[in-house]
Amino acid sequence: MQSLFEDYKNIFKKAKITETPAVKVEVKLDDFVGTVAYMKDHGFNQLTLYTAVDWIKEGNFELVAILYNTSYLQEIYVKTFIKRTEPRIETIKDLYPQATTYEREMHEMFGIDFLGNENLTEFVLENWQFAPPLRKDFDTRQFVKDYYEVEDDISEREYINRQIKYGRFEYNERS
Amino acid sequence: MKDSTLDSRWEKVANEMRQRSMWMLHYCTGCGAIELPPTMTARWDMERFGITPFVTPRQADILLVTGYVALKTLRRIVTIYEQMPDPKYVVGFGSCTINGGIYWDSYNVIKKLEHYIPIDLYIAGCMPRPESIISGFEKLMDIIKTGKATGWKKYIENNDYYKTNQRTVLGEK
Repeated sequence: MQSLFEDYKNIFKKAKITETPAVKVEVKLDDFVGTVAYMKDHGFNQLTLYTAVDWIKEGNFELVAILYNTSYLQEIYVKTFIKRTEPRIETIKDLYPQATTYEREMHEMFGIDFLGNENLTEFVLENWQFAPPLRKDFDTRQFVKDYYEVEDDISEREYINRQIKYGRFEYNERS
Repeated sequence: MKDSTLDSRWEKVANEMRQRSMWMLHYCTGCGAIELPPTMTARWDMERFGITPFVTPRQADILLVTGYVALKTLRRIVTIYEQMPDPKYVVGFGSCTINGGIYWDSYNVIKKLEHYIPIDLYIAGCMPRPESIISGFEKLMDIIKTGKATGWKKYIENNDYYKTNQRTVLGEK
């Protein structure tokens, strides 16, 4: 690890490196793809996970790529922050082809655009016409109230009691 | 003898026969499907009641909706339900089909299945044990025999209501 980071620090001077409890490299937005490419050149040949975290108070999305070196059994986290107001970053699908699917998911769930990835189509949700649902400012409870017409004003027990009163529930006589 | 009297008498005979040969469509949604293999196989053996799993909707009588229904699944369930020939019965299975269950505030899971297709019987629980599934099927046999399982007639009579709800929730206006 020492030799890996000696060269690395010369190239990316602004990167923050922590080694405990896990090896993390936090870089500026412009250096992200370069860092991932550097790590791939130095034996990190597997992309274990590529995902986003929504930090709404700071106004950032945190992008995390977990890379794995299969010959030295070493894991590394590469992180960067992008602004929530302009969520745009270059794709890493040329380095790791499986990133295409991760990026497609992040595009659907967080609304992040990946420049250079043409395959950002509908992934899990069908016919979704609303805000990206995993963003923290997406109010799921309000959405459920508006969209699925749930009886919210009376409690569940009260609702069941009324149903029994009006004879809509039947008890099984045998039990 | 009047035609209507004959019809109602024939209906009684038909119901008697229908309750003894129920073929269940083996379509599994959500996690409830895991309770079905023990119910079908040697330990609880539901075939002794004349209920057996079947592979195509064209030959099935019962649609079991086992667990939560995501929007994507709802579209398939509606297609399958409409492919099934009359008379057909739907059994809602587990608490998710009743009011959403643990997905009560989820953005992608429908809350009450009875808004979209008519349900004849609910089996409560999360998940219901094989005993309660068998008990539920016995109850279903009762209501078929007495002619109370009229969900498929409801679907024809109130087709507008169900179709509107389906289109609204699936975003196909």
